[in-house]
Amino acid sequence: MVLLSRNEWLFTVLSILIVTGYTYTLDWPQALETPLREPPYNFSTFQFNMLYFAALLPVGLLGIAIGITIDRIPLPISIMVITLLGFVAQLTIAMCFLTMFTGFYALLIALRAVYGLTGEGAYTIQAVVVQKLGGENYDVMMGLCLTIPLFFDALNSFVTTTLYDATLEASVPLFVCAGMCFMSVIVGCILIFKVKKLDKENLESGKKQIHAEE
Amino acid sequence: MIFVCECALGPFLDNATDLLVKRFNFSYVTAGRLMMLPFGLTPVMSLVWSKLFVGKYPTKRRLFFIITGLQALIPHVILYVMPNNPPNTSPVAYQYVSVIIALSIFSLSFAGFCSVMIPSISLIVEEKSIGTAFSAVGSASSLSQALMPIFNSLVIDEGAQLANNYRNLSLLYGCMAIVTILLCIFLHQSTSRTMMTIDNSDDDLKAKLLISTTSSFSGLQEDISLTLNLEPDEEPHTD
Repeated sequence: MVLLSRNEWLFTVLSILIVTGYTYTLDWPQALETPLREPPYNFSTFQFNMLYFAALLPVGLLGIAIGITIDRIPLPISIMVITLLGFVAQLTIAMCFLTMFTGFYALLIALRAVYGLTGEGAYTIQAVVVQKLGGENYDVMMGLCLTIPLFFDALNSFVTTTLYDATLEASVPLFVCAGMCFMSVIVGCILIFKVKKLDKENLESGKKQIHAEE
Repeated sequence: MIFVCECALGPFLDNATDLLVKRFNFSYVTAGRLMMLPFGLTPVMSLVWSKLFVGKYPTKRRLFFIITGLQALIPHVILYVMPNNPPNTSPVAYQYVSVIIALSIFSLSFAGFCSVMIPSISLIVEEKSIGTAFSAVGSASSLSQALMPIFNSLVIDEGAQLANNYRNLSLLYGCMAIVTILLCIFLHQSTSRTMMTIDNSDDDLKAKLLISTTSSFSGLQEDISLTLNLEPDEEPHTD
């Protein structure tokens, strides 16, 4: 029994990887909870919980606006803007921890909000791509795309704590998170290229079919 | 419904490790290993759902919703019924087996949520609004992830006995699962056209999805339409 065709596997993997940066990065505060509560950071319980609240609440309030925007503008532009914005937000978060400038916490909260919104955008893009390319195996592809990224959430808890223990520097695991977000940018570029190629092939085959019928 | 179902499933994973440690005295390492089970098993279970259940019985999606809800309830019932271990006593064999069974059923339910419930969204909305629909789903999920930890902490911090508080946590999630089941039954009984669309025949779904496959990007969609519009004007020339 062939589960998925070669093309379907390819798009499933790309759709999984485009959200991987988000799923891997979302839970870094939990992995770094102990160091964040100690000097030099000294985050209170409220400040710590705000890191999650800031990332999730804007999605609850503005998520639909992102979806409407994705429906209105061409998908390649959505993919590039959302993946790049997510990468820049996470990279700046890592830079905040590296430099520790005065008032960096306010910027951190704002960046977590941006990051949360881009993550929601990445999931919406994933759903749109799979819906457009899934065909008869849509359910299989969607199931895999929603469940496999959970692995990366679990992986973060392990990798981030290990990296912190090795370096005693919070910015190092956060730069790795930014690296994962950059991978999503690369995957976004590949996805745009592959879907455009597939579209051209479909167009050509459609034209050939019409000529054959003539 | 997705908001309530996500409440009953997603945030449970955040507290499950602590629950196993505080109630049954599992070590953190063992609890961590046990918690790898849902992460590993859910993708496999999603294949079971999409290939074996939805693949063979595509017109029974709304019934599968109810089954998913029931599966969400069972693990919380198992964990609630199991008695807490007294301090300094190790978990016994039946507790290992019960926890593994509970987490496996949890994986099956979570897979059903991901591969039956969420993909059904595409059956009730038009293709041009698919992004809006899925972002609404994402908003519901995010709200549940933002709100449930607050309720969790209220339950966990209530009362002096931490083990009992974690037991009550299963009660909270069980209640959310019951609400999910009730919503699924309501959906199953609904005769509105939109809700009936979920149980569309497989052929209708394939037709809908294959049409959209040929018009993936907006730029090329017009080209395809133009090409297809030429067809009726082309009269066959016969000598």
